[in-house]
Amino acid sequence: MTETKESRQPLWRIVPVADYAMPAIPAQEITTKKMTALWRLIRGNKREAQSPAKAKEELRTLPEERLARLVPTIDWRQAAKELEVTFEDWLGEEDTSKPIRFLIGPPYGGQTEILQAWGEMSGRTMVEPPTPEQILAQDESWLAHWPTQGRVWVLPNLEHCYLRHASGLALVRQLLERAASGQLGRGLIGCDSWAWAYWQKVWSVPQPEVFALQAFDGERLTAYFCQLARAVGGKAFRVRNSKTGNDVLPPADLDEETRPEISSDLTQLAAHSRGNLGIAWKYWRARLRTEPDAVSTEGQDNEMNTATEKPDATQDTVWLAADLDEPVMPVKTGDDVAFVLHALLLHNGLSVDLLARLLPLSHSQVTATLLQLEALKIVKTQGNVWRVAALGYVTIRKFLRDRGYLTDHF
Amino acid sequence: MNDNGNIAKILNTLDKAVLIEIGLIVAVAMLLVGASQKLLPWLANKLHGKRRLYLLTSVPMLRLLIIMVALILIIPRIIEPSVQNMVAVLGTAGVALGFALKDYVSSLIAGIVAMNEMPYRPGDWIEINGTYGEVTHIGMRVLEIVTPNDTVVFIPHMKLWNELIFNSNRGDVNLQCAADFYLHPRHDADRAKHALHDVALTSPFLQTEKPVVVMVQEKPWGTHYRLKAYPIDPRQQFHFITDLTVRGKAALTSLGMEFATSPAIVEATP
Repeated sequence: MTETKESRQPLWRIVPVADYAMPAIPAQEITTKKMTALWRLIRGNKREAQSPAKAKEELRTLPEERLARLVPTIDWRQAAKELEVTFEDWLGEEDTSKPIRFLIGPPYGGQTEILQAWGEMSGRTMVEPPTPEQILAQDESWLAHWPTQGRVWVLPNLEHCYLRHASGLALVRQLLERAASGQLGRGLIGCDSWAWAYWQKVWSVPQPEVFALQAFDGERLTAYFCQLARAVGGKAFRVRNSKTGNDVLPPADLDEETRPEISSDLTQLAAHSRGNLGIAWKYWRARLRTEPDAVSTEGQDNEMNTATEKPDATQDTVWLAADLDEPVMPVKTGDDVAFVLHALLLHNGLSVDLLARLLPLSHSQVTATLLQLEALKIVKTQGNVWRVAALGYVTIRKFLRDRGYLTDHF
Repeated sequence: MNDNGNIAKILNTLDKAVLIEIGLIVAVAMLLVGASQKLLPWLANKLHGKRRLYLLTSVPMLRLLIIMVALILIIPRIIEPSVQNMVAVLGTAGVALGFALKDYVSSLIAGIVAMNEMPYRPGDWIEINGTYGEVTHIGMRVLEIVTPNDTVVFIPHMKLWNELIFNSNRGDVNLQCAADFYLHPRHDADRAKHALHDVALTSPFLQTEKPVVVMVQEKPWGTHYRLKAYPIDPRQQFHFITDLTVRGKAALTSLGMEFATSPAIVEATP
């Protein structure tokens, strides 16, 4: 561990979109990986060199209850507090030359949750998106009932205010024109990065006031997961890589001022999830494993350990699976699959009825495609709305990019 | 006797070993050509966009390279490699082939020129002599195109000398498509133009990096709208035009616009 005391980056940062920095895998690490692969090739992939610290068969997935305790849902209110600080000057300004600001983020990136939390915390007026029928009918009553001027309003999900249909763009065009000209007063608009990329093509008016939650690189992911690890009832737990046996998180007793060494697991996770905390969180949860004994004795452990007691080494260790079987795209994929996935991303979720309306596919074709993708864990359904699955997002993004579809910049 | 002596000087002795060597070179060259013509298009068709086109383009180039290398290896084994000998033998062979197989040789030479000038490449959508389709294979003598009706057409390269070749995408993935609409002259042209623009913007086939253009032209029988845009993949062009047409008609109908019909509407004279 590095013992030098350096100033650490704050965990939550709201930055202008131009300052958004995508985490990258360090070049040195890429070279090391390639050299290792070459060495294995020369040595003939000898077994003993690869014996993992914990074999896959020795580990079990964590029970949902324990997982929820060890890796609780992301508390976006912390980011909302940071938003309040970042926008303090703008909110206090009398000048209305910059009436709107945008908060953009990728799917599962939390921009909607941040704006909702901020709206609740500061008592702002939340604006509900129009219904699909209102969008297609270009119903201006939605705009006519806009919150009273003088108060800052929040529209947390612009992606739900339009449909990629010949009649589905007019309402948002009007909204953006009125909002940008200041007719609607001062407001904050949240938008999914895919919808934003599309709207950059449809409504190509330069928007200087665009912000995003800064990407979580290896360092910030480490800080975040350390925070979670220390917050479990005051009892820290240890996360070790199941292959190498190395600690993934720095020790719990490390001085908070000391800059910890960043595990390559977290650097890679940050790069793989493209700095998206929501996606990284999902991967982290999906990769955590435990030993069967630890699962069976967990109940007793909870009763015996108090916050002041020294934790037992075996029971407080969870293992990070070396790899994860990520969803893969079907071998033969036609335009149907690409259309459905692209439409789901551009709208951050759609119903079957709307998909059939927006795409040149019948209701049954859409249903069949969705069920096929659901079986591959690429999409999931919440009520009647289908969304891309968090663990499938990276695969889907690459699939669409390789085929030349419009992708986001995050 | 003297002529026979000269020929003997030009040609090397073709003993058994040399013949085996030549046979092996030909066999390896044929194997490599065959493999490249099967494997690369197979691999290319698993890819999309520019990577597919680059790989397809490399097939004829690679074949030419293999044949050239094979010839470079074979000729010195048959002919005593001196400038005089080469000129004499190749010149004689050229004249003989030129007279006997003029068109065949012309196509072969045009094939080599085509590889240099690249008026068409595998993956391109071309029209030659009224036949439109995707170039799927470029052979030594002919190119193969597949028409929208799934018919394979073989076209000799010699067409290159005197036919116009229309290439819609020229080695790129961007291929412009146009959907036509004919409206009754009495309508709000500005609304129709914007509606058609949005029809293209909302098509799932649209390549958003390329512009969408709506051309409007007044005709004696009505107004002609031409909606031009690019699909994501050139192979989607017919589906794209269909999608634009279907949704364009729906959008214009929902705006209460009437389509021009044939015969042309004649204004009633008062």
